[in-house]
Amino acid sequence: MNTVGIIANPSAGKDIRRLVAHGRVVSNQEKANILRRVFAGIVSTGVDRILMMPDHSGLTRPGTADVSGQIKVEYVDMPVADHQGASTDAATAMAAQGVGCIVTLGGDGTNRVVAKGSGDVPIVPISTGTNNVFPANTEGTLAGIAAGALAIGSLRIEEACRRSKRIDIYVDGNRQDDALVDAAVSTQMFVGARAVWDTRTLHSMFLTRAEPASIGLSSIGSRLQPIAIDDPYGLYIRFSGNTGPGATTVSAPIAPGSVVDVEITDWRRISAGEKVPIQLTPGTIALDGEREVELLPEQDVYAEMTIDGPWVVDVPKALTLIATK
Amino acid sequence: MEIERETLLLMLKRMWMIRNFELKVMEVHAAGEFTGAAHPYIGEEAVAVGACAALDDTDYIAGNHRSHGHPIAKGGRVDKAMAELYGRVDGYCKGKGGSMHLADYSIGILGESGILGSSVPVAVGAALAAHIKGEKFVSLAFFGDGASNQGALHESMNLASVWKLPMIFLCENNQYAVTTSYADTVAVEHVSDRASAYNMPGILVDGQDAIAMYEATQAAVERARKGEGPTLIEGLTYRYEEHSLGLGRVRRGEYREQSEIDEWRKRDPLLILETALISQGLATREECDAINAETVEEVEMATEFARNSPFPEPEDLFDDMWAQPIPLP
Repeated sequence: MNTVGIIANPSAGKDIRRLVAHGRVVSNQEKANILRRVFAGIVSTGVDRILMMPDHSGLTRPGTADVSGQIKVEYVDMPVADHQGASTDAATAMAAQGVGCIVTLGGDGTNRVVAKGSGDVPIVPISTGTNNVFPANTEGTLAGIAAGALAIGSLRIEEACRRSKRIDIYVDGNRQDDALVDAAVSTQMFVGARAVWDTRTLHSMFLTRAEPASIGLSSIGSRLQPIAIDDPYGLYIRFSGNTGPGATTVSAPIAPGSVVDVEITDWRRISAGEKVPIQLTPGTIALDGEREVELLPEQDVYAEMTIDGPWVVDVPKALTLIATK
Repeated sequence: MEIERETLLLMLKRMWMIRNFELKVMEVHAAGEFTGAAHPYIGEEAVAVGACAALDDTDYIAGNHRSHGHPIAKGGRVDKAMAELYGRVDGYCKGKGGSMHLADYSIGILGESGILGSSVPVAVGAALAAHIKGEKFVSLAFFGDGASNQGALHESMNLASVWKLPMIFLCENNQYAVTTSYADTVAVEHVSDRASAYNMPGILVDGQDAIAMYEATQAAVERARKGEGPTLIEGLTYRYEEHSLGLGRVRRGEYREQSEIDEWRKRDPLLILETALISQGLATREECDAINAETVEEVEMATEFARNSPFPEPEDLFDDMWAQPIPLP
């Protein structure tokens, strides 16, 4: 049975960046509307089943009602939870059940936790979060068509997807966490309200991609050297310490509505497998925009980029292939 | 902005003070030392303490029926609070208010109310005063997920936004209105979603993490003082005890699973803050334990203070009810 998975994060786009910046608000009603369009696109491709992460507010209910009788619609058998681990659990269950593609609604943070569980299942990320480098502003119907085409096998992963990179964070030899776009080391001591909005607290940063048309911390890197999703290298930027040959100041849109000058001490490319030590205590590491890892005394911490990140569906390319095949 | 160590230790002390105050209240209430409703705040300490740590003494708060945590978080005296619960003359309202009426205007505590949502317009009134006087103080109203369905709250949010008042609406979403799950009664996923209807920002915060609550409230205070208007903050939290003391018919497990309570207990706000302080080397285990013990002692002394205070006289019943007393016939 071919299946498309749906993970819509109802908590995406509700953090403190609506106070300290001008982060957009995507209402849950609009998320439900997007899902209705996604469902319509999926059904049009002849997929057998849609498998969804359950949530309190029933984001998927209107879409489910629309397609009643046309397709099998099921929820992952898991408790409804209001924490990011739920998205990872749902993605893990979907991968285990052999879904052909997962459509996500959220921002970079949502996709980070989905990717922890999705393995090699390709993702169609629709942007409803705050920082949206990983997801795209994709029309729901088109996203559904692309996801459905992958699920039924009319498109192959290799031809319709791009493999993203990942920054892995190792603490005392163990892989503790990861980021899909940016891992920012901050002098802030606690994870607290999670977002990083004061660039004066930045110590260093690792980027898998730096696209000039993106918003968020990765935009800083795009002013130094643009890097695409599948370029075989990333970027390492220092904001403190000894000045190197790359010292400069850039103006970057680090959050919605917030363009600031950022002083760079040094920067360089990093390649896959290169281990870069993180020597800062106290401090935190923000992963895809949210402080997640607290740096403690006596810890041995390093970052390493891998090119084995999740597959991301290139929706325009997928639709072109569908049209021309 | 980084939080000072002294602020963090004060936050820990106030959280322990609330926890131990409530444990004592449960003990003496069960022993029949005083009667009436009392609503334990255990499990939610990080919300009030984190929020109030971002306020000055000149800023105002108004609370609700779950009424002991808010004034203690704002720096209120536990002896006067306990005496009020005992109905004694040395209480905050001279023993005539009880558990849900702990007010101390000298440090910005406007009081609480047992009527859901009713203290929110009072807090908005304080914010209006700041606006009219051109002063920089802000006002914060605590309310729950149940009260988020009350008209008074929605009217308050609308007016505060229209007038761009220095106001913070802080929803303590403990997920149950007495025994009713908010998932069954609130039409949106999060109470903070409702901010957009009133043209103000709304954010969702981990209510078990006092530092997260502090940072969020600090950002909202900054907006308010700059004249940018109100903010809705939703602290997602959990009530570990039952809705109210003295409600024997509402028993644990009848409306929420023990496994759910156990999961939330793993995220005890005191455990989270102490772990953060110890792991970053800002406090030792012994220092945290000493703070806990210190508050146990203060609560014991407050209880003795309350027990030794006399009851008010019947003829004092109508005193202090009005700013301008109305002569009785």
